[in-house]
Amino acid sequence: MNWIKTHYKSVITYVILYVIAMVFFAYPMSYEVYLPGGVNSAEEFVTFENPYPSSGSFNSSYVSVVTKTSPFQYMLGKFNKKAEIRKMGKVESKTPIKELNKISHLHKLNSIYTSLIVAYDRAGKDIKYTENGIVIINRIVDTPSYESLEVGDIIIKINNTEVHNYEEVSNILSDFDCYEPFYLTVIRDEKEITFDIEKEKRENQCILGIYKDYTYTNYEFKPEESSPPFDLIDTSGFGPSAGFIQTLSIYNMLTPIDITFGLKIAGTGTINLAGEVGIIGGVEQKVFGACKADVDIFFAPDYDYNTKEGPRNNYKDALKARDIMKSDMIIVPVKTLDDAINYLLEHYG
Amino acid sequence: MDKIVKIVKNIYQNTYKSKKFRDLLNLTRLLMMFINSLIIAFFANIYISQYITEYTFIFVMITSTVVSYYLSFSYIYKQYPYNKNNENLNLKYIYHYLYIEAIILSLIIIKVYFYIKSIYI
Repeated sequence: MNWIKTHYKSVITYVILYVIAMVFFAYPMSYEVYLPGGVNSAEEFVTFENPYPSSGSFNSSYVSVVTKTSPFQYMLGKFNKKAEIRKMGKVESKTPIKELNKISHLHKLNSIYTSLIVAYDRAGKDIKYTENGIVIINRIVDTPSYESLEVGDIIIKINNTEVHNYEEVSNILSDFDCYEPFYLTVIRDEKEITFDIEKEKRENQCILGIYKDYTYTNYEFKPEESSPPFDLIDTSGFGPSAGFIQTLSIYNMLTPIDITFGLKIAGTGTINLAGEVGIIGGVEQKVFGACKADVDIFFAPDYDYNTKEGPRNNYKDALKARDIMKSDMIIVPVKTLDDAINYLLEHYG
Repeated sequence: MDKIVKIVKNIYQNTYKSKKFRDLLNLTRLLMMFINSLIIAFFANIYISQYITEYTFIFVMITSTVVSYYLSFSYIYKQYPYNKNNENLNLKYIYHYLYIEAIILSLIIIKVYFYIKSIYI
């Protein structure tokens, strides 16, 4: 203790320097850094009894995202030509990382379920499932449901009336007036919970805070009754961006024509029940990863859209990234699942 | 087995048994904590930003803990006044003791790292 007393100035200086350094290394800022990723096989999450053989492979590309970066990570990202720094939304930056990961995992589950339905449908096969409520993927701040609902809740009943999909939920909710209480029954952590809730007025509109884009239908599949039967073996992972390539992969396993033609194929983009490919973030970093993994063909969504930083297009971004890598990988613009299937059949069939 | 017991006994009698060593050790641990947390925080940022691999990061966690213990003890041993004109501590055994403690701590840190990783990723 005497030593500290005699050296208190040095001790205070070191403590201040330590605090500054730790803030520099650990303070979470509202930025996220997109770093080059790689590719994963898109064929391993589902198995079939007798899948049609494939000479090539379908791969989903991923990107490494560092959310809530520290000032030091932000600085490293600035120096990295292959990294992209983005400002997080106000709500996102206040959401705990654990919840952000849960949201991202729910997007992945939704993409897997949608892929199965679309691929079976496109291949003319029969998949059996029931719709049992809607899953909350994200909560909207400053809406009546924000405090009551949790990410991952499955809404199964409204005032004791069973609901199966978003359309039913929306129809029932439209009957309620502002501040008219009703009961919502949800499954949370495998337990059924019922609570009362009411719509509230926000900017002259009567809202609850449950929107289609932030929910998905809770499908309960019947793999044994489907034709062919399937087995979901891996539903881990994050994000919806593998949806499109997963669909292609399942489609290829269900149909006799091998559309890989011995090629290593990768791609990115969400998929919806209509078979449309949706835009996705971090395409450049995915292309960097795909080039490194010696991918032959990369499918990228071809839609113009606006961001805070200006207009973007996934396909054009992918072309720029390929040029940086000086790779001869073929980049193909797609808007629908059929675009990709037709491209492969026309060019390699 | 007898040999190992003898070595452990020797290290204990020449280190932890002494009250003075325990006092020095506590100060060493305190300083080590500051140094090691800074080094690990620095390399965690480098690792997350993909400049080093996970294996390198694990290696860094072990070496930084060992180095932090060594630097901290060297500094404390030189600086702390009540060490002077006191009984002589056996440095050889002290460094053996510190090395073992550093390895154990680094393994705990690695375990904590994997636990945190399993929660968030």
